[in-house]
Amino acid sequence: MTILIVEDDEMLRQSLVALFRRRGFTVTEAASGNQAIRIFNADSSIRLVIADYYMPDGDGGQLLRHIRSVDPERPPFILLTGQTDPSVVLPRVGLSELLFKPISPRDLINIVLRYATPDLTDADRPRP
Amino acid sequence: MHVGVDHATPPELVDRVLYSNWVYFLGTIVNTLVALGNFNHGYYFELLLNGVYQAGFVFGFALNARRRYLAGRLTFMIVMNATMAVACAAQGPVVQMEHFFLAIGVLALSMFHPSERRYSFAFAIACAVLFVYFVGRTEPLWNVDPEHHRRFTHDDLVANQISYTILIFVSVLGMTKAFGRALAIVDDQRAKLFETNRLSAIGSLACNVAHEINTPLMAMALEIDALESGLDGPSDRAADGRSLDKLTQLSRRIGTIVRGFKLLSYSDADDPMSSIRVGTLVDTAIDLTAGRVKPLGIDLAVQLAEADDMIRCRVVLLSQVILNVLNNSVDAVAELPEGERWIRVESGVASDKLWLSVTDSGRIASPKVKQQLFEPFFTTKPIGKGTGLGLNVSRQTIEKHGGRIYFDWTAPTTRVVIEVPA
Repeated sequence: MTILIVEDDEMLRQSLVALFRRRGFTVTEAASGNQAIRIFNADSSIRLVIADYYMPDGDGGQLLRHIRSVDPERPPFILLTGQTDPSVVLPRVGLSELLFKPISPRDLINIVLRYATPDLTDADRPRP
Repeated sequence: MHVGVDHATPPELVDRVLYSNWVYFLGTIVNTLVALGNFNHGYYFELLLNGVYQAGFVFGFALNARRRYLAGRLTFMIVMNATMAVACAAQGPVVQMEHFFLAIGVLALSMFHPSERRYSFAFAIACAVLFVYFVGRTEPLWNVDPEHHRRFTHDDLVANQISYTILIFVSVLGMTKAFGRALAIVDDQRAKLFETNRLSAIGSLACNVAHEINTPLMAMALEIDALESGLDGPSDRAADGRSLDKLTQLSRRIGTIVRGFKLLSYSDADDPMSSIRVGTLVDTAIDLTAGRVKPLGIDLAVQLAEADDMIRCRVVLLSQVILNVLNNSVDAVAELPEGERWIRVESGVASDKLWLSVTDSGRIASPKVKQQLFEPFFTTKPIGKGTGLGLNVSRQTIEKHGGRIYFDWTAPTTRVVIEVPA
């Protein structure tokens, strides 16, 4: 099963991808909402989406709406935002988790484990 | 508390309080007196003169209603002086019209704002000259109606003198008091509003900055996790090196943002004139808008011809102006469809002046809006988003630098130009 990580900040995206690969997940990535929609449409193995909210070229809200229009429940959708402005209304409907950056890698993994299981066990996990 | 307020109150604000209350009231009294006192002789001529007089007032009112306060007052003064001079010339010393020049002179001194002193002095001098010229005459310059030339008795003249004196006294007292009170009220309100404006600007900036910092902060936590996980098993020196590189870059990114924020949250109390690279000045403002520019997909291009030139200025204030103008552009292009959002920042040197322009893909079409852009409390943004003070404060700041800020309406889209002495 694959986790789709959608984040426009390249450095953070790389670090997130590396984190989940270290923990044995299969990961695919997108730099914008629209790119994520294309990947999601093409790849049926995606079991979890973790997306940023503010992104150029299609934000997290648009991505969520698209995914929920295909299936109102699956896959789970985690919104990971750096938004602090209380006047910005974030989407709630259809969302599995709303997480705020920065969140510790341990907490993030624990939350993700509620929705997905790693493909590889600790034993056959690739070394960094 | 020092809140960085320019203590010179803009004349247009004072006018709102004063103008309609006193100036026209007094003008009307004078006008009525002239009409009553001259009804019997030179009737048609007086009627014509009063017509001109009234038309002048109406025109002044119209200008006032269109918020062209200075033009309104100048009209009032010019009409008042000119018609009074014609009346004096035609009626001669008998009616003692020349005493009105004393009242107009006093009015001229009090109705203009200290920053418009050149007008008040010019009119006061003109009134004094006209008074001296007409008071010494024994015959009218131009006798319009010799047949009905009315003779005043001694008692009439005394009564006239007394009424003029009272009029002058009341006008001086009233105007001075009203003007002083208006200045105090307006200064106080402005001080409060500027502080509110500054705080709300800092508030929204803080949100931006937090948003900008959260992302690298999270990436740092992930890199540290990567390094930690390497501690348990066989370490990969190349991967560790990459992680450390990333950590350094990320912490630098946060440092830049925090420095910019610190810079912009100062008030001007501790902002002495100092030298700064033009490029640095612009970059600071651009770094702080990055949090809004990127998510909106705005194409932001910077082209500084003289990026390495040093400029002497109050760095904080000037950065705030650039940030202000940039923020306006971001707000403007955010309304446009994606793909049409762009902002271009350019600079150059022309005849001892450094210019910096911010052009965006927005368009301001309404002539009414164009005229009011720099007015305090004027905003095209939705309620709660704009205070309507940004450009007004920016203009005061730039004028303090001996420069100017204006919209270049010859450009096809919105272009703001800031010009400061190089």
